[in-house]
Amino acid sequence: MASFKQIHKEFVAALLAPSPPIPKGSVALKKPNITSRFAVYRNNVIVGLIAALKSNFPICYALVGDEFFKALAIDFIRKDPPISPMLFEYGDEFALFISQYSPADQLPYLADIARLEIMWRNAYHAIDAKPLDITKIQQIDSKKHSNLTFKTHPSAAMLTSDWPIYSIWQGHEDNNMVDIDLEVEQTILICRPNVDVLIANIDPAACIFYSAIMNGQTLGSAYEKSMKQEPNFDFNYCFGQLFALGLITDIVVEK
Amino acid sequence: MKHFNPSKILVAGAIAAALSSAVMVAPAFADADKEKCYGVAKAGENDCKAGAGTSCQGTSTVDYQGNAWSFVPTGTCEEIETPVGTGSLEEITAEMAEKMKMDMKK
Amino acid sequence: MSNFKLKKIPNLAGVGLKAQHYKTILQETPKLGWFEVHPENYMGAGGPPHKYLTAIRELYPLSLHGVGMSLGGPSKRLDPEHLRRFKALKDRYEPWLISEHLAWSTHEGKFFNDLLPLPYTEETLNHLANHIDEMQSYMGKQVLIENPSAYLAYESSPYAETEFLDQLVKRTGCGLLLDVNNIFVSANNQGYDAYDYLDAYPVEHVEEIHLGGHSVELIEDDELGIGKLLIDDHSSAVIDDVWGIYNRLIAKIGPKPSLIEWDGDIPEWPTLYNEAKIADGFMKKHVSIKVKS
Repeated sequence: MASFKQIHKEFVAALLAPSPPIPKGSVALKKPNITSRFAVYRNNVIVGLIAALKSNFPICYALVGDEFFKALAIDFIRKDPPISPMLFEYGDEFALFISQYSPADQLPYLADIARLEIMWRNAYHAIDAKPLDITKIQQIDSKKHSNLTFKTHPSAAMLTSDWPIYSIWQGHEDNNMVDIDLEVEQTILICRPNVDVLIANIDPAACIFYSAIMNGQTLGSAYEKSMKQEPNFDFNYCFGQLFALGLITDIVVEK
Repeated sequence: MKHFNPSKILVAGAIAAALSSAVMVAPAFADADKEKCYGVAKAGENDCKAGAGTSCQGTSTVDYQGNAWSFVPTGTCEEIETPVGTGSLEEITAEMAEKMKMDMKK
Repeated sequence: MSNFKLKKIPNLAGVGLKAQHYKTILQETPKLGWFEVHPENYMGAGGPPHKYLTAIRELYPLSLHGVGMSLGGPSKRLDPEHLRRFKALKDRYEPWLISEHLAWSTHEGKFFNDLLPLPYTEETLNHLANHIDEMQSYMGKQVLIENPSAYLAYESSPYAETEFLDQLVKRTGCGLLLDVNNIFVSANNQGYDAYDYLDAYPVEHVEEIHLGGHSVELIEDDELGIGKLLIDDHSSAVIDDVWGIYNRLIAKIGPKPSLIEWDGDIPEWPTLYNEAKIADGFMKKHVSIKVKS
């Protein structure tokens, strides 16, 4: 009789293999035969995980279509099965996998769209925090403004890409991909201040500004760095957008 | 503000001036939940897009015979205009794709 | 400490909660006994899932039905991270019932999202009893164990499933969740009679019942001809044969919390609500039966 551990080991090996040996000790008590029966478990696992990736990466799925996505997903699943039962977070390695996946070479932006979708999901499930209202800054002595630092929202994150990831994301939402210029590089800022995940398309100077703020640098330092990058840096707009996105949860005044 | 000046005092002054106007023009946070407000975009009804659910049911769909090499992407990517025209990705060979990448990276 | 007024799940029908029904439920607040969720889907730190579950929990009692504890898994101890996450949800949402499966799904840190089968041996029994003990003591609460849908058998499986479950109850003090559709599915797939299974099952320990739909697959083997496999896909209404077993069950034990599970091709809310009302209708017929406490 196969031991408990041996049964698990053989079962698992056969679940993900392209053509499985049937685990020893498992039998059919009637028709259909054991091969068809074991196939139900394999199928449940594979189809369930494809569905999980499809629901975690809906834009990638739409971009490549059903047939290609399934083939891509199966290759990924065999290499990287989930490490937790929380399937909403399955696929952290999917973007890296796509970037090294030759059949997807013709869609060089696909890996970054997967990164965007991972960030979207992380923001969606991030710990909740209440955004601060912009008027709070008026209660602080203006002499202290340049030394202020900020606590930013736990869901906030940025992604810089060589590709127009914001336009592709927006095109997917609007169901219109035709006006996308693939030669544009874009950076996005994601935050979920309340229920909805917000995405902003930000320019390089704004990117420097938000990075500095999110890294806990002072407002003055963030301002200087952005101006150095772009003398026409629109501070008013970017500062306002920090609050419009709900990115700021607290202001720290230097004593 | 057009001329960058590293002087701390000037920076502080610029920020103080800018902040008061930023407060005036920035929307209250509540407005940000409205679509495309202040450069912020969101998808509609996204509060139910929790991602994959873990569940205890089986499936009768069969799916484990995949070979990516025998398929080409045929989704919305076909609408995106590439340097060699829209659609028909089947006609884009691996070499062309490589060239596209190089071209686009200048 | 208590956050919610409603605690006890009544002996009425409940429904497996799905995200697409959150808003309808909160708007219409249907007259319904309770809801059940898979804790794995609420193990994120924050966001809309918690917002909606909290709002619905204010209005209805709740059950947590685990899918990923892998009680039948080969490791000596359960995954401490998963135990911690499960306990945190139990503390946060105060479920009246918590349950898991007589199955395994995790192997060496990898999660296979299915309820995989176990041979019913002495070794398995000891192993499972240890895991159930571990889970119950960590949770500080009784755990109900559900019978799986079976698609294959093991050569060496000396215990009948009903006897195996009875042994688990005796050894650990766990309760039982009886999935009536799973009885029907397994009986067909393994070639036994569903009512014989029910007669042998230790019904006195049933604290919750599951009801769901399945699909029928006709599979042709070269050597054996066409065989029928039932797949527990929770993608359709409960069939009359399954209502028949349910009727027999509650005729024996009286009304019990009875859940409608519908996880694939999820219909509009009224269809699910209707299924729940059918279950309530069966229970009304047997309401006079003395319920053992």
